[in-house]
Amino acid sequence: MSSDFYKASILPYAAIIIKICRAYTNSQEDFEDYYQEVCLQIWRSRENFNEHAQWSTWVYRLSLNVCLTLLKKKKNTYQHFASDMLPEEAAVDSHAFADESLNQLYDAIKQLSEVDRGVILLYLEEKSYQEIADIIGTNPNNIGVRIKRIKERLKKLLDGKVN
Amino acid sequence: MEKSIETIWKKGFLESDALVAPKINNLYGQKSKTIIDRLKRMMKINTYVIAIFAVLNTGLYAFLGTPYTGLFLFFLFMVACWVSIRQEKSLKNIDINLSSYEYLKSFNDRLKSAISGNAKAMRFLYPLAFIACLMPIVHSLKKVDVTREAILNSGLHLTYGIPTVAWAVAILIAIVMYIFGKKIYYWDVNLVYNRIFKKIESMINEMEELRK
Repeated sequence: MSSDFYKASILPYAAIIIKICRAYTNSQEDFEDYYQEVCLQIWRSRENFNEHAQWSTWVYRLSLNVCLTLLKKKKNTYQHFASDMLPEEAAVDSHAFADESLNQLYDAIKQLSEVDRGVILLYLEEKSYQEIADIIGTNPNNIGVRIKRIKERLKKLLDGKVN
Repeated sequence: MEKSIETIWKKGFLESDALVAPKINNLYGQKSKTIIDRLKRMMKINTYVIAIFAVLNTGLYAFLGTPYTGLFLFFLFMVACWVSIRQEKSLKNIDINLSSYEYLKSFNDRLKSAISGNAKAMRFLYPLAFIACLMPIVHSLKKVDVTREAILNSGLHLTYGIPTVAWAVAILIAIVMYIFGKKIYYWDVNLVYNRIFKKIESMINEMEELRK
């Protein structure tokens, strides 16, 4: 990946990638691995990009796909190891950001299902229901209801009503 | 909860250090290690499988009435094991302090050179193994009355109780196997390791492109 490509096509969208990768990782080390893998995947897939689509939408989609794939791989790996390895790995790094409320919000988001995490991240990034549906690959009619349900769950989680 | 999640999100990311992109480095560090460890593991398993098969095969040949051929094949399989172990050892001495690219490249070069060296040794092994595999057939043809009589009454010139023409065909096949021994060996190796070899090659190509 040339540094020109990184600077022109990835760095302006780094915020998107960071926000998504943070939602799917629990440690700084994992976050950096996921971030690198997303960047690499964007570079690899650059020729598949449809000129009619938005680059940012493409970045969202790839970022989510890569994170979900890596998460799945990690889960499969865990299944091959003894359970005594899990607690350390599962330890959550709750201090990724300086803003404590944002850290708490991320902790709550991480408790959602993998797809719901993607949906709420896209919602918070002010994507339209149609765009969210396109990226997630679902029916736009369901998105509104789903977001409402996710927000209620997040509210409960942030209020400390749900463990 | 005092603030909405939308407010927390917007306000949280106003912090200047919240969205600093991590530096991209050592992109393939862990991947290189994982793929090479996998290949080494496969090679070790392959050696064990050959050794176990060699023992079982010796027993089978003894049962078929050709124990010496079984022992000869056992020897050939042990040569194959030795080739495999030598291959593994040659890959162990690569400096792990090299960068991922240099490590993977060096590993790939050594692997190719080891395979090329082994191919030279293996081209003798295939025809010998082929001839040895025919021995139980020769033994049973001579042992069973019907086939023995048929051969004796065929009017063909016999060598060691078998038509000389049959020996000639077998030797011809063995010579062809010797000539194409390298190709057979590469086919044999690719049958087991092709996917992982391709993966290493594609990683190296990708890394070369990334370095541009």
